[in-house]
Amino acid sequence: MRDELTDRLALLESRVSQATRPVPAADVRRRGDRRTARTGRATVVAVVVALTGGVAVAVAGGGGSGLTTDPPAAPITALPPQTWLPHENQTGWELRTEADAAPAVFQPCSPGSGSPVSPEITLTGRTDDRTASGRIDTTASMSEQVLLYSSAGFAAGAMRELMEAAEACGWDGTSSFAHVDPPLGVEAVSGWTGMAMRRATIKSGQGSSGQPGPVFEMALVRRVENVILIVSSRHSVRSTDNSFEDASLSALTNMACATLHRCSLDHPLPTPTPWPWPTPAT
Amino acid sequence: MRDSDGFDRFYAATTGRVVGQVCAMVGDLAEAEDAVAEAYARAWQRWGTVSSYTDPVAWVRTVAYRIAVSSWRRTRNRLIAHERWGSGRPLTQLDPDTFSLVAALRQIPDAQRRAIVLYHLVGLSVNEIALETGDSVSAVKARLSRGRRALAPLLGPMATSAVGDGEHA
Repeated sequence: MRDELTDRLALLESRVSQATRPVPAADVRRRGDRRTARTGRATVVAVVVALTGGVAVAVAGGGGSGLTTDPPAAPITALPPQTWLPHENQTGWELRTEADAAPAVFQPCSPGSGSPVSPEITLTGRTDDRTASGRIDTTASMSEQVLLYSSAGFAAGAMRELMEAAEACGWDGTSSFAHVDPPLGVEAVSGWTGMAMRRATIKSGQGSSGQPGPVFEMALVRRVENVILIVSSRHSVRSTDNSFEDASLSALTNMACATLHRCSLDHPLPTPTPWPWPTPAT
Repeated sequence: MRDSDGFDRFYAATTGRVVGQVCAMVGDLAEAEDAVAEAYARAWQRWGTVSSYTDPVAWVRTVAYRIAVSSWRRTRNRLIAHERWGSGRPLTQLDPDTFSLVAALRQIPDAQRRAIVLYHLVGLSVNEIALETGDSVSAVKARLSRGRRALAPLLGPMATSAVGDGEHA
């Protein structure tokens, strides 16, 4: 026997089905073909030793026939000059390009939080990075970062380290994991592909007159093959809006696709709804 | 060579229903439309494989849901959906009963809402929901039970009495 909930849901489906204006099927196929062409690039790699000192240039070309059969994109060992971070040229923002040694802007077990201090856990296999840091407003600062690794395996290893550290050091949130799953993606390396984390702590010197006060931290991390994108923020007041961080990560994701040819497979990150801040821990 | 006619027939026959299901799961018509369109585009990319599945609609629905719940994708979609597909219609243009049902669904956790929709609307069994969501059977049962309990006071007296505990086979 159908119950009322079933009937009401069926009515909802029917009404939505009538209200929706589906895109023409031909447009959907074109969209799929564009995705295939984009993610299937980079089958030829030419290493050109430049007279000026040896610059590896990855040349991508050719179209792919399908996500599940295309070879991985060409390796990039250094961030190309076109690499940019969303806020790097804004007044008051500091840009750091330290080749391969910048600390990750997401430090799950950072000192001063009452958590154990961990060594830099994202350096193994890293070949380049770019970091921008600045303020969102008077109560919040934010950092954006691109970490480049010599292989997707090293990047996956760094993600695993970050994930384990976040779990161990009081962060709360969600994550996404990609298996080698031909119907759903092309990643050759299974592992964490995204995390959205929050932590609230009480730290000394945060309040007025140097009193202990709350610190609200957020980190959004995404891995696309051998590239890790991080947006982290630190708020002195409880923020209910993470659209600034989301928009920054979206811009980074688009940059990685356009510049590094590391196009996201959109592995989902099931962000909780609502996503409340945890109670500040001392 | 992919069968474009076959894909077009599949798309035409199923897209409205899938948009309805995903809309019920995520509570946003524009998000559902864009996620479903993207999921069908991915289905076309691998149509030779997807079309051979026992239930290709389940594949599309699962991918669309995963796309829709990605927070940063939601943000990006808000910026580009209008440009790409035209603006979606707000749910307030639907009738009050439908709107109130979506509003009630929005108030329960995502996982419970998804389980409720898959069970009551799509008609999957608990085992099938477990397969589609990657959760255990016991977790699905718990979500269904909690979801119904949470929905009952939100749907009014008539609906409350009708939200049963029965399970499909």
